[in-house]
Amino acid sequence: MIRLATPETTQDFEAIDRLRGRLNASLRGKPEVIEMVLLCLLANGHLLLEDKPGLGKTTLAKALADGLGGRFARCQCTPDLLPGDITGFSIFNQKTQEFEFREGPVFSDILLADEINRATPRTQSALLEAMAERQVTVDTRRYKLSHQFLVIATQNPVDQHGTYPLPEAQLDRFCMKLSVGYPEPDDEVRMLQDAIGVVDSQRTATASALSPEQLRRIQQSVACTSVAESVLRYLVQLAQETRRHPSISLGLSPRGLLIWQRVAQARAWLAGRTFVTPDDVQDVAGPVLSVRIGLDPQESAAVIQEIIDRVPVPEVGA
Amino acid sequence: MHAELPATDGLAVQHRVTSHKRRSVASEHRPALMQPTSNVALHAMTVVMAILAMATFLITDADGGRSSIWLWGQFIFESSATVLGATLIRYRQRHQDLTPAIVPVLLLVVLLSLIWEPFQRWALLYGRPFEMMVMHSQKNLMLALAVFGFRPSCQRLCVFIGVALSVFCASVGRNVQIAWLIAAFAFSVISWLTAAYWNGLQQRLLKTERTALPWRWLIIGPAIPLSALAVASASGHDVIRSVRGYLPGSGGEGSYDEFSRGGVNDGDALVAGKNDIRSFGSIDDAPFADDDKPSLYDVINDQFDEPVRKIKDQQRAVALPPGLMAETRARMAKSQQASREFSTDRKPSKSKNQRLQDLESVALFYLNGRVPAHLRMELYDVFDGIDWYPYAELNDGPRMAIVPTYGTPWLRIPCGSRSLGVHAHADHHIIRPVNLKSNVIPAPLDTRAIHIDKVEDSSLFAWHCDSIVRMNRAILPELTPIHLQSDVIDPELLLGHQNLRFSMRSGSPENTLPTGVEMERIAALAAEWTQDVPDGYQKIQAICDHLRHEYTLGESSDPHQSAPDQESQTDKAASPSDEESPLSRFLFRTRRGEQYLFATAAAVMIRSLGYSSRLVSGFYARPEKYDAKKRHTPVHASDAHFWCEVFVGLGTWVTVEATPGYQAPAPPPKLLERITSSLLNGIRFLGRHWILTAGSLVVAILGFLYRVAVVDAIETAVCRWWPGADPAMRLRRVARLIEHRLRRARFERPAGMTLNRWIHRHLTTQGTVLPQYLNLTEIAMFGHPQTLQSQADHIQVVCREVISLVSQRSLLQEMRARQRLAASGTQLRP
Repeated sequence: MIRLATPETTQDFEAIDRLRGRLNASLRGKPEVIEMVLLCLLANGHLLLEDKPGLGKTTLAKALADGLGGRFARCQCTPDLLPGDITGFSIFNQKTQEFEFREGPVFSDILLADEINRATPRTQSALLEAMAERQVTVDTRRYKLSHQFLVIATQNPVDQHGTYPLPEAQLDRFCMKLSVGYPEPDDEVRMLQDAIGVVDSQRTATASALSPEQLRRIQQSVACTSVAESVLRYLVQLAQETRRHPSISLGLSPRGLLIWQRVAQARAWLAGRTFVTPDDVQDVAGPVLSVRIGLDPQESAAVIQEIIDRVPVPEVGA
Repeated sequence: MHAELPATDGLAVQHRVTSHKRRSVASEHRPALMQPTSNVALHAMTVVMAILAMATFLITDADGGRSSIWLWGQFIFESSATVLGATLIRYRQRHQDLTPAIVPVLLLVVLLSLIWEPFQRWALLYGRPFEMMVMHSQKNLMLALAVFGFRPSCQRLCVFIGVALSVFCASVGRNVQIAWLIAAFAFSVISWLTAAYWNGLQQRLLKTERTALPWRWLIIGPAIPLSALAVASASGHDVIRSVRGYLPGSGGEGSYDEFSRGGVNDGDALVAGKNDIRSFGSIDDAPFADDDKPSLYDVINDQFDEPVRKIKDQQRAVALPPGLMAETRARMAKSQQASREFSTDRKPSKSKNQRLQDLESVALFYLNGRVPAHLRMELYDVFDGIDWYPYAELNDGPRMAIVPTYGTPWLRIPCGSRSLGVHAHADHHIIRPVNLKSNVIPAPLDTRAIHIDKVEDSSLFAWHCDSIVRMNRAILPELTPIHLQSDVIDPELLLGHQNLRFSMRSGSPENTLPTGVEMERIAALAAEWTQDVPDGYQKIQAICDHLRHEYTLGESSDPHQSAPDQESQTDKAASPSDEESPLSRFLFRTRRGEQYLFATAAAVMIRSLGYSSRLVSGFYARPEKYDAKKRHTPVHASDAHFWCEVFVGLGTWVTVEATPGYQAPAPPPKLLERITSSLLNGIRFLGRHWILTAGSLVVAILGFLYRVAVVDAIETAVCRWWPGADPAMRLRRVARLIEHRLRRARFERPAGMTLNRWIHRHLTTQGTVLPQYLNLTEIAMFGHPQTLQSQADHIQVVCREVISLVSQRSLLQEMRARQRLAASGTQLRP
């Protein structure tokens, strides 16, 4: 009714549904987290997962890589990890008498940077360029990354010994921060049942749910989702409110605002609309803001809700 | 106060930074986002203010010289042009992102207004004075600014010019309507200031909840004083008078403030009556007219009918004591010769009503000053049981002298001393004879000074009788204001006063009563009425109270007197007065009579108690006749009145009013008394219109009880029948209606939540209509409203169904159910 049902859009929705199904199958009982991951993907952003170990962060990243049919790379961040270990390095080939570039894990479609806060700031900053510009520069040469390059970084909020908290600049490059959380008992039972009889967690090679071209097209149409002036004003007011709020030391940056808008567009697109409503903006406010306002999870949820409650939505009669 | 820009601070900064850039770039860079624009309510208020100021100026400019049709036409043209212009500009600015070039347009308006003047003078042979020309251009500038009021800066300038224009009109305008318009303008300015301040505040405060203009208070605040004024103006003179005098006046209503500016229309500085020669005006230097007009006694005879013709040999039922007779016989004879005596025995009236109307048509004189006022014309001391005989003319009374006071000549009149300490107030009255055929100056008791402009010769004045002054000419000069200054006795001070001596020297006519059985009966009645009353002024009051409350004013219903066919018989001297005097007939039998009977009864009874009293005839300036607009009281022949005065010692007399419906003179009421009387007047007004009051009360109570239903019905009807078929607007209107219904049911949507989510969270959305409606509304608000055009019919159906689905009643029921649940301790859904 709202979106013109062209064959392409129908295909796109089906593909997204397939991907959603796969992600739900691999991470039981977390549909809302998966929805956010999808939004992050459609908004062409990077994801920070903050949670305790063993809650399925890696599983989720792998499932996403599987679903997208892209290359999956993982790097375990430790204090001795060097920037070259992430971006790649040039090595002298004795045969050809030339330097050859060995691509690092960033040359993948999905990069899982596990426990990113354990890497040194130098290494962390190596990710900056890769995340923001989707390219790396090694030895003055510039290498383009995959256009669907998606970083899923994880960090452990509990064990903070020997960690290097991510600098604000880097946090701002993430699209959103999510925490997976423990599954519900029923979901855990089902998870256990699923594990019976499976010796190895080797994956059966299946066809990807979403081709890179399809993803690119969807991202393009997400970017085209319209945003009414009243909603733009609403977004700006929300951003101003974060800058004014006494608990927040660093308010939302214009870059953060742009990302917020894009995620809201993605949500509208997923809901089958061609326009963004204030509800879209509100629904994605939590993950988008929590990565930026630098508060601990419980506090940040309360502060974000307070901001949303304070700023009036566009009037009906306006 | 500084009205805050409606644009948020951040945006305003952004606006400044990017403004020069934007000018060079094309305008499609969303200027609407950057420009500070005022909200619609403030803009509308500005337009209303401008229209009010414009109307004020139109009336001032016309100065009564143009027909009302022309004025209305001009008003309608200018106001509709302003409203249309403002709407159009706002529409263009909002929907097409077009901002007009404001400054050139404003300049053009001012220039055209100025250029128009020479053309008008040349072509239409009509011109304005310079100041009007300037203000005219300012008025046009103000209207143009109101059109561009979407810009806060234009709005502020518009209000500023409007205020200046109103001040100008208030100072030069002479029309009464201007006052109303300026009052309305003042209220609208106050409302605008409140709204602008509120708007500014809204931008600065942290938004904890949705804030809207406090419409209720913006309306109720100015409405209370406005409605009070409207009621006051519509409810006649009583209420107006009760409202008057709270502000310092220049003496017109009896309240005189020495710091007030020289009064216009009344008080010290009278201005020329231009509209009506009979209105009060500065014609103090008018030529003294002189002609032969009938005397006051014709007026009295007109009013109370002629006395029964006396039979020369008739034996009176009562007689004067022999001692007094000898002393006054000569005077009585002289009085009778001049027809100055007053008989209480008068013919029954025949066609009084008709004659009264004739008399009402022309006032004898106008009185400017505090009313009620007892204006004395004649004093009577000797009473023979039927006739009153006036004081002898005073040929060698105390000398009167002209004493210049602040440059004006005042005739000082020696009269009773103030040493008793009962005088509480000084009154200033102005009388202006129009048709009064007498040379006696009608003046209040204890008149101390008289002033006629340019009259510096005291020989123009003479004593008429004790304490009454006349002019040495046939009649008073017509249309010439005569200023009177008098002292007012406070009756409250007389009560319990230790040094009052109520009796004059024994044997004086003011003490003397005729002898006879009737008089003894009357004295007995007086004694009976004052049995348990302490001596002094209380006794006098007691007699007055009895007369006022137990006797009726009106024509006597006595069969002997009222039958007209008996007139011939009466003429033949078979008068009923043979058996009993009119006084005792009044006191003991009919208990109903004309006012002179009340005054006579009071005087006689007071005398019977041993106090000195006298009868006074003159005029009673009625408060009911006070013309609030012209600020004076006309006094007609029908206002001829009789009352009596009581001696209280040291040459001081006090007015005693025994006739029901007439008020005794007293100092002006204090503030508290005035407030009380205002309230009483209000209550009386409501009581007089009790059907209307009760009806309004019932309507108000029902309206209050069913206010939600009434408001909802009106709003629903407006929403349903609002013209315009734009489906997006229709959806929005219905959304507003639903939102108002939710608010009325105390389900008010929090500021930070959309209507869609609020409804989904709180209402069971069974069926498809409501979700469908909500989706469509989202498209109308945030999507592409133009795509809805194709579904106009469908949307109409959906809207209609939603209006009946989310009804006010269902919402209220839901709310009550929740309240019950909450009361029973069940947790509500968040």
